[in-house]
Amino acid sequence: MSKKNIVLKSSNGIIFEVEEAVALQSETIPYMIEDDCANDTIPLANVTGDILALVIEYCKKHVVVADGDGGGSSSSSQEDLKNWDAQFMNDLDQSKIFNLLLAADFLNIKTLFDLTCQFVADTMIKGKSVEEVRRTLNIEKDYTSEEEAKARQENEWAFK
Amino acid sequence: MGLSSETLELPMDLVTDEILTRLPAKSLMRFKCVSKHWLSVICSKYFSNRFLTVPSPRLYLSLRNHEDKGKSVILSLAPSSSSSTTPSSFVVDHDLTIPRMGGNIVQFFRGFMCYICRSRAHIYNPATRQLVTLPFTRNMIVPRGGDKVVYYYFGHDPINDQYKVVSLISVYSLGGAKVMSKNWVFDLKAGGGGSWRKAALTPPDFSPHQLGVGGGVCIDGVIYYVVWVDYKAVVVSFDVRSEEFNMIQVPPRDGDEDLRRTLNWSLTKNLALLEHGGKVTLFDQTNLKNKGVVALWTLEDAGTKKWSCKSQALKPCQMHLVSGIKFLIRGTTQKGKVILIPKRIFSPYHILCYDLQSNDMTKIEIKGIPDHWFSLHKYNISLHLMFMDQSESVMCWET
Repeated sequence: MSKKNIVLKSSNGIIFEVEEAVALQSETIPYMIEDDCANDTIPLANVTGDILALVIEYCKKHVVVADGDGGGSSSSSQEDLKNWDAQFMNDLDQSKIFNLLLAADFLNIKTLFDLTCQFVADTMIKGKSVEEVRRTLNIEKDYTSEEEAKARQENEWAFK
Repeated sequence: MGLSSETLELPMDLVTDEILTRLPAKSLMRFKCVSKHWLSVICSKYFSNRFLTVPSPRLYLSLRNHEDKGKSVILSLAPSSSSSTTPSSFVVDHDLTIPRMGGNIVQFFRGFMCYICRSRAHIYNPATRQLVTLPFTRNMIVPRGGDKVVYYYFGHDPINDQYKVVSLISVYSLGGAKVMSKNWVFDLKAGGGGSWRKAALTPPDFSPHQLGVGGGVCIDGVIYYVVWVDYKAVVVSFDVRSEEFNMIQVPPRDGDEDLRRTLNWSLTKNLALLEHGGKVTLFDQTNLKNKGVVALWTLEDAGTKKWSCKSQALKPCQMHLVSGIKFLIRGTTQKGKVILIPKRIFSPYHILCYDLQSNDMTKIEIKGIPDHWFSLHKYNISLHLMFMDQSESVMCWET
């Protein structure tokens, strides 16, 4: 059985050729194929090459291969995938994580989007102080000192 | 989308919709202090409906000291290990005691705990630690030598996303011969305030009744609770949206005659109302502590008022777990297991988790209860416990 390949082009012009099953984990790409059927290269103006490489690495790992009975089965066990995901995310810095999250949102890859959002929530936000969260997400403090003190007092138990 | 390697901001709607919703409630309460925008997001109804953390099971234990009421506590317990859906032990990790706290926990529903303390209804959200105390209902005159019982039931109408509390006040004369009852309804509003309204839409066969079995359940926008009418058990249903009341007779059971003859109300304590398989079910433990048998009465159809009954004997090897023990029963787990709470404290304390499907009883150890509780006389302590494995709620009622 011959496998169809899809060519993806990053915003900075880097070309990736991937198997169709790998690319179709994105729910956005099929629409782009339909819209632009004359051209066999799909331009992704929002995703840089280094991020697209990560997306493809993830999608290759998570591709579901059709088995002989026509049903689907994943190439790795659930447990292996979970460990792989954790390692994959742990190797990234903050800027890569944010970019990957945005790329997963744009390309509409649900599992990668859930993975990156949960990772940001668990490791960059959950146990952090109010100041750290403001810094990480670049949020301007709009409370006056008095207002902030009052808000802290009302939720004092949550700071322990 | 600026995807340079420079410092990058995530769009704020993505942060609030997709990242904040994945945080535990405690972090969210802290992050109300990040900015005014976050405060308004976290407190919004939209957000609380999107809030999607998968909760780990928790227990809430209320210990009341009758000798010294000021020493009553509510403790929160987490599973000792997070490996299975029904852990084998829980350990106290938070003391939630605040003034006006503690008492008879009557219901746990959609992340809220409803309890009665000094005849008033209290709605507590352990995830946000918000406590709403409802005002007193209008008083009823108690005949000389008689008594008055006030009870509350909590429910939610999923169509209008509206929470309501129903109050049942029953007054009876000496010996319980003459009963009068009134029902009141309270709307819990986001804006706070509100008052008790006298319940209307009462069908003609709606008779004076008195509290039968503690604890109500709310299933698909209908609150159910058990009352006594002329010494017979009756289920009252209250549609939270239309506010229509109905009475559904419970079929006669063994022991009903004893109840009528001896007016021994302790017999009623053997019944508990549960949700089982999405249906209203009466769990009868009358024959549990001696014979290891439970009877289940299930309301198959509220419209036709049809019940089914089944009794089930415990495995002989598990008899020792229930032998001679009286249990308090308050609700089921998400998986439909019944939580049996020994009424008297003992050390080391444990509760039981009864899987009705597989007829299997397992022990859940309770660790970390402060030692001094075990040195008090056990009859001076009343103990209430709630098992919670439903979603937490971050909803706030402004007060």
